[in-house]
Amino acid sequence: MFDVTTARQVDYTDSHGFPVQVTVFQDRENTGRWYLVPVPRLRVDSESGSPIFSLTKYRSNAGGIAGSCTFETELFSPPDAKFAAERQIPEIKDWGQFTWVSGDVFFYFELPDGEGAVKPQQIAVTPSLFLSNTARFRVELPNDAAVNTFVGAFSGDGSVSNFSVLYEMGVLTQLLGAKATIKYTAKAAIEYERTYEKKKDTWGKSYNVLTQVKQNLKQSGAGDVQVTKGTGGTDELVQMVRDWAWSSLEKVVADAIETAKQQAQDNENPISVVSDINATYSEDAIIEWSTPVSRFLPKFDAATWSKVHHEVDNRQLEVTFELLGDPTSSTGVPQFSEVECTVRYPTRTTGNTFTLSLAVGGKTSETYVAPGEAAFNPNYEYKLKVTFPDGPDFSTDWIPDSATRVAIRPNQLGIRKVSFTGSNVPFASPSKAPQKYAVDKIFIDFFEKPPAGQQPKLQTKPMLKNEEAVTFDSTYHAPITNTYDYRLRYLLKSGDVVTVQPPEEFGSNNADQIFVLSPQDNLTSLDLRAISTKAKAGDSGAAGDGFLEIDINAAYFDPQNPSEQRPPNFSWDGWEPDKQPGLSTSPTWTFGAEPDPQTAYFQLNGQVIYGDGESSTLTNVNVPYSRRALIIRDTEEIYSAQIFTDQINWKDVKQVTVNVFQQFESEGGVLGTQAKIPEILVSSILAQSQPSGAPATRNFIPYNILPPAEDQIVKSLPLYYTLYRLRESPAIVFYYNADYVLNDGKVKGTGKIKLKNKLQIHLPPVATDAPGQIHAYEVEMAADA
Amino acid sequence: MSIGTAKTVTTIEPSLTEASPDRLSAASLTGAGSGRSAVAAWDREIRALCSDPASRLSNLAAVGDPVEFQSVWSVADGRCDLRVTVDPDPHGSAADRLARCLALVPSLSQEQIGYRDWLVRAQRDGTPRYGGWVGSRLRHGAMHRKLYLEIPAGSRWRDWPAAGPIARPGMPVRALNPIMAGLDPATECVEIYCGIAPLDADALPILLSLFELPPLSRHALELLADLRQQSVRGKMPTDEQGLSLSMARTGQLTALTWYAHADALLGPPAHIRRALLTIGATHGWEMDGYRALSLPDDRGRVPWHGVIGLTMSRGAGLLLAATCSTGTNDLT
Repeated sequence: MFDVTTARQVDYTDSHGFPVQVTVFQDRENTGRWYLVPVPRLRVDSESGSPIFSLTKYRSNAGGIAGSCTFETELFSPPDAKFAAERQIPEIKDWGQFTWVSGDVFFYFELPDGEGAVKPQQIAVTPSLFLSNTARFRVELPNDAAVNTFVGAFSGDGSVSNFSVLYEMGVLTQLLGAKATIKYTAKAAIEYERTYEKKKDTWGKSYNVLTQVKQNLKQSGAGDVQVTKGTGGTDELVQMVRDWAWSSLEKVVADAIETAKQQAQDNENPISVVSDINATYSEDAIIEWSTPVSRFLPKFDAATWSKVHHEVDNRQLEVTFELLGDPTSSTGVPQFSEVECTVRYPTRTTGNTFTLSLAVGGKTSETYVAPGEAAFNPNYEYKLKVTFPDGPDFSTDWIPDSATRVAIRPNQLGIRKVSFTGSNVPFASPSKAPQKYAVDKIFIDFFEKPPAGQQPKLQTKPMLKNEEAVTFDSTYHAPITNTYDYRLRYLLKSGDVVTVQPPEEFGSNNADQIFVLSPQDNLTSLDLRAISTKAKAGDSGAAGDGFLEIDINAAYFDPQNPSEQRPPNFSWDGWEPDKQPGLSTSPTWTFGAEPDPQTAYFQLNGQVIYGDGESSTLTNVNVPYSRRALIIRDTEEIYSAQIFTDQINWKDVKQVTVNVFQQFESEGGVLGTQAKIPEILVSSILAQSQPSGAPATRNFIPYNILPPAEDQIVKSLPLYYTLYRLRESPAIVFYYNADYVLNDGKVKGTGKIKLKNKLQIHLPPVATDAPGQIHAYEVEMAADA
Repeated sequence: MSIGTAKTVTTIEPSLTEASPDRLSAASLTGAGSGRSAVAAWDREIRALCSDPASRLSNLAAVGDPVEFQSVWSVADGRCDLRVTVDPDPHGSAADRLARCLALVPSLSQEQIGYRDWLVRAQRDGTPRYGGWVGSRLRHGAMHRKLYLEIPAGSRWRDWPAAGPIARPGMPVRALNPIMAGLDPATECVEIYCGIAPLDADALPILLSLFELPPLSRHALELLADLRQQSVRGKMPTDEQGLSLSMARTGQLTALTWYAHADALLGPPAHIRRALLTIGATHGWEMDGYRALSLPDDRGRVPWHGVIGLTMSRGAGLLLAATCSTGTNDLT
């Protein structure tokens, strides 16, 4: 493992004659071993020696675009850089290699906007986590001006293009010589958004989210990072740790916003449902470190340009098939032999089969090109045949698609690997007096959904020390979902048990590293977000009257891990949300707790007084932990539903998935009548994959219930769900789906369960109906309101 | 001055009841260490340049203030040069403002007159947003003005005789769009301001090398890291950036300046002020002038800061510049 405290910048001259820098780190134990942060370059075909780059112009734009540019990049360690480093640091004896656990690659370019200006553009892709970390880009060029911009960028005078590629790869290391605290203050970010009246998509999606987060965390003052120098720390180290802490904060907030999109309603900025974030990284903590590095792409000389620049009559079908993620086991061995792909498309009927593999000389990607016709047809079909060294082959049916990139990830080959690493867990030491939270051992319960017809796996492994990874890997020889669940059971020296089950994880790259942290010193928070919909000029939707006052007392319960006699509690007395339309944020209640996110909840009592003088009383309304930014609209009242899990027969059942949600109209109000469920949500629930934030769906909570462990008591606790009812509507409408994974691998649904006491769902012992069904409930509440 | 298109700020309203201190008043300038005669000169100059210094409707600063001061620190000796940039006609159209700017800075070299006339024609043929500004600085006891003219979007700027440096092939810069030109009668220089996409940090030494400017990129990046308390990693920080190139009468490039919005770089106004005062104290720079002019008002609000600039210059070495509104409004 490299030592972050030893980072050095080394100057050297690149192959174009320009002065550039690389970063090097020393190994923690082998002082003669150093690591060089590799730099991007354009890939070259090892057989032909030609760059893997193609710019194609279409003489006819009947296909909707005027051209396309495809190319591949990779990471490499320039010999000139190594040589310069060895001259500058004589103690370098050999070079180590980083083991990347994550990565993003960005291509920065420009396109004309049609009004005489050029606009910056960027594309982000995921690189492979094996070999030289290839990233593959394909840019569709909408018109001749865009094609000419690319021609100008890659040909003509000069040796480098003004287009560049940036790699941001993550690697595990230990935080030494400093500790860091990162903090996100939601209220500041919300106020800032309001000040600027940014468009609702300011925080965008995916990579755009991260870009905007970087900017807005700073501009709004919502982000804060504090670094304290520790033993042996230096000012340079503090600076590096601060850099790392800022990028960690940016990622944490971006992830929270991404998740929040599932909760945000159509016309609402997802930032409005993100709560405060506080995290402390102490010395010796295992962290994911990244050092972004960028390089300009080259310009081609005339001879090379003639090979990579083409003109054809019609738009071609171009589809890149690539292996992504990390398909190796914990011992580093690929878990499959090869993938044979066959493509079916009318204009190319021969030579349609190719093979991808990690073997020496094998290809990890192939761009399939088929001639175009006067009318471009983007639809094709493909099928895969996967062979394994230790199991039967697997073949798919024909898969229809129209995407220009088909990523074959480890889960599609039936491969999964997840590592858990203890980071600063206070494991009890015989030589030290036991601390209150001294940990004897941690049990990790790991569950993954099997392919149809195969036995489900619920594995349990112990973790006994920090830094040593506990890895779960599986090979099913058939595609599996890209999700998994886990539960941590901390066995404390005192005899108490702390249980934590986070929401379902989505492990797309098969290199997931989960940091197991201390069960103490975790800060959590709750605040209220009042939305006043008082009519703004031009608004057409139903509007409320705002709020006069909100008086709520909240108490926190974590029955899975009861540690305090009296539950922590907090009161918002006489809180007056802003009179203006929009979002107001209450003071934040912050307190220390390590919750079980699935079963911890807040119990609310009090009243909401609306602008029209009417009020609604909250009596023991239980809000799940995942709603730490609780939204209250002036057109709605809040209730809670209870889902009981204590009758599930765990002798026959391995896991239960419950999805609960409500639907909302375009102006943001909850729907008081049943409506068609978005197709995307139905299909993701049916596929048992992570449901995306479907349009018109808010307040979506997926629960994944694991069986109690054999040697420890994990309580079968009820789950809570916050419901909204339109004040003018007599009924609450909500939807639920519950599917059971049985011991034999079959998945069954519950059918429609009769509610008890209006809002209680008692999950049955076993399920026998078809899975994936979504059931609607319409519960009359007005008489109680 | 703005890097690209103006920010849309909707919550700042002209305040009639708020008694905004005049930051370029005699009291402030005295606090800034200016002598009595200098104070009088500044006072006269601002009144001469701006038809309504109390207006809050200008596009010059995001808060609508027509008068911004700029502190420029020389890293070599820590001296601070104080300047102002003024919107001469906050209520006028782009054409009105252009006319007033031309009247306020009539004395240009023959070459500069040619550049100016091309830009005036481009504005008349296009749809300018603001037209121009006027800058002023006190040098050897006299005020010296600089004319800033907008390069309207969509103009055929590549045809402009002064555009040679920014049209140069091999520039490692993306989405370069010229937005303004500065004509300084005292030096006969022309400075071209461009909006750009985030610059690769590695592009800075390449640019300096292309334009045969001193190799100050490493020093500049270290200064930026000190200021932000964050290293520059891969790209220069912030989404919206600008670049200006100063060209002498001979055609030789004399300086390159990288700009970013101060709030995007350093946070809300109070954070910006703290960062500047901290780095100034660390390096022993002259900070009294900036400190006095950026004082919070009686409600504790630090004035809006516009841009931060890092200049790598042939003659003056490395310079750090910050612009600050003379009004009291902030965005919080």
